[in-house]
Amino acid sequence: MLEMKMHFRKMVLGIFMVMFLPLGAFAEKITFLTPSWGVPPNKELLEAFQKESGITVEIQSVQNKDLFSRIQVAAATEQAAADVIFLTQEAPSNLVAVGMMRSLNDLASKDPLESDLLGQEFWNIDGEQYGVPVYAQLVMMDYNKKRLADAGFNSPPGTWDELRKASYQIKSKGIDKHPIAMKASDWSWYLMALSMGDPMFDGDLEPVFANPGSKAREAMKMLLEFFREELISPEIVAGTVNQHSIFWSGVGTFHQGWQGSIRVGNNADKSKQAPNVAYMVLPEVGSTWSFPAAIGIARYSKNLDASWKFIRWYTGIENQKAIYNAFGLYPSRASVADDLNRQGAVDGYPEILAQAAKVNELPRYTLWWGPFTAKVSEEVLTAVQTNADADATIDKIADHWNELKSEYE
Amino acid sequence: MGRNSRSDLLFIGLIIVPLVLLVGILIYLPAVDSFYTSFTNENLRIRIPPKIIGFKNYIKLLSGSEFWNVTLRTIAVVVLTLPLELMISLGIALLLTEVFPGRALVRTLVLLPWMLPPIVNGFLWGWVLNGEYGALNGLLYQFGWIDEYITWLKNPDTQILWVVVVQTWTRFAFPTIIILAGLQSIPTDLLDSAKVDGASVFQRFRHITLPLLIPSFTVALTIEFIASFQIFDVIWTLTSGGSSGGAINPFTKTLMLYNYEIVFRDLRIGQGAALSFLILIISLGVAIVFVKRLYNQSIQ
Repeated sequence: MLEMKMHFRKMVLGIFMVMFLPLGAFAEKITFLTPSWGVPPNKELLEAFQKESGITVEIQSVQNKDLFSRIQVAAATEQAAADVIFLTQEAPSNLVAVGMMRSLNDLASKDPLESDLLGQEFWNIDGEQYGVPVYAQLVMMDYNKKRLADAGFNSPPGTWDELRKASYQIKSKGIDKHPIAMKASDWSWYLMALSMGDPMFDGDLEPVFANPGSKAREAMKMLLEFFREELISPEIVAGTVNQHSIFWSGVGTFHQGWQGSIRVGNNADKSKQAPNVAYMVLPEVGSTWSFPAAIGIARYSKNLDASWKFIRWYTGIENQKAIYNAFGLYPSRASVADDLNRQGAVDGYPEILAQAAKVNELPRYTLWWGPFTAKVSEEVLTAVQTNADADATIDKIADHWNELKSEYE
Repeated sequence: MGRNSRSDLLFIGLIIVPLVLLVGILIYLPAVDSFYTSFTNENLRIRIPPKIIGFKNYIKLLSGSEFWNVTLRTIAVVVLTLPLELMISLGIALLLTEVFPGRALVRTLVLLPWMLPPIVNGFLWGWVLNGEYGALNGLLYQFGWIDEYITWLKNPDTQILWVVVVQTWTRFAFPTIIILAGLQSIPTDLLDSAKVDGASVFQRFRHITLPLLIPSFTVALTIEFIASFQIFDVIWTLTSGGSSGGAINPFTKTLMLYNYEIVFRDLRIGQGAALSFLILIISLGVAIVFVKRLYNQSIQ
């Protein structure tokens, strides 16, 4: 009995000792926090990098909306949630502007970045480089050529009104129950408003989108009508699918995509729309916004050299090609893009070039952009679900902007 | 003091002291720090040292309409969930006290939804309720009960009802276990003698089983109140993401989601800490009422 008691005590003490063992015994181990599409798609390439460099990369794949909170919670206690962070569309406001990322200037001065790496200026704030671009993102639209032709249209619509009429035609002919694949969120409204020619904000960051009779008001009205008339699937409002998954599942003729999205849309293994998807330059003025996604190092990371080596590998030629082939995300290195184009791997290159000439950037670097754009999504979703008035929705969005601006500016 | 007693004291000290320290460091210290923070204007978006602003955070929350909307929605979730959950739990517990072939298997199966993380339950129900290819539509259509597929989660009113259903599904096993334990502790001779005296099944249940179950009910009610009041994961996975992207669905936003939004999206740490304490006060108040009114009365 006494022996059993001693044995039990040893076991309990052993457990306690293991609990308090100092962590961090692996000097050449780094962590990489990323949404699912940032996980290196080619496992062999990653293994080769780990073998060659002696650096073990632990990948933590999380939902995009959870990525910020993890970093913010860790940073509040001066810890790094991970060494290397994938920087998505809201990162300039939610991570960089609030000081949660580390300047890469010292590392880049020792090991300079390639000159053909485009989009570096997007992540350069007051002379400090916070991210190394991974892919170029241009928000675009694509469409199913066959369905449009079946409805009697030979070319994609040149105005949003034509797009609406074509959608009604497609729906009434029974070709597609829900011809438009767009979300009930901020992006859909930005896309339509910019495309109609609304500048959204002026040089002083005043919300000109709220001016009486603005194109942004017109865009909101039309977007809400798309939902009301079920030109957009109600399942998108329910939130169980998004515009991409529903389009690739075969529902939708017009789809809010990106530069590279038809790579997925025309892949028969991933999309029921294959092989009929093509890009369309956005209707009317046709403006959109661009976004070079990047990776950077968390402010409190201690594994700087290993993290930098990983970043250099991650933004290297082979991994960029692998990312393009897996997710259709357009390489940030011009030489890689040219190479892929020469190989005939870049579909719709002329449309990409035409769309790239029409970019009107949104003020994503402002401190308050993160909470603002989330509020926009909330207001759009509320308006869709309650049949709210478009003008009242725009007024509320403008109030949110003004309130946040006066608080943070 | 014998050698064994000293050894026992040493062992207890070695185990208890670190545990007390851990609880103090990991729970009470942050709680005290949060309480202090709730009186400051700490905001991680603004890189300036926080200042003490008194009760401003509390006043701002209590004077804003959003706090009350969210609180009322949370209360609605609680009020709808608790009776449904406890009725189902009582029914299943009564069934599981009976002897029948395969009882052990049924008891294990009852535990299954509780063993699954709430996040898994949320996603699972999201697929079940999908309007395009969900299993519920498929089933109802096969039986001829619907003519066309329904988008169950589209309407804000039905969204909150489905949240209640999924929360009940996720949690009912726990009160079932507590009530089952309560049922098994009721002396059988009491029920037998009532039976001999001619009491019907309903009378035995009404006058013996139910009064003796009240302590178990109170425990279950208190714990399930806290779980429903602090609901997060089920809503996050069922109705909060998807179409709203980085935003939180305003029609299923409960107190915990509101707190998440203030702290992690807006980075208003001071205001978020104040909201945490308001949530704590409400939870504590209701829990005290449950325990004092129901548990103590039934024990007396």
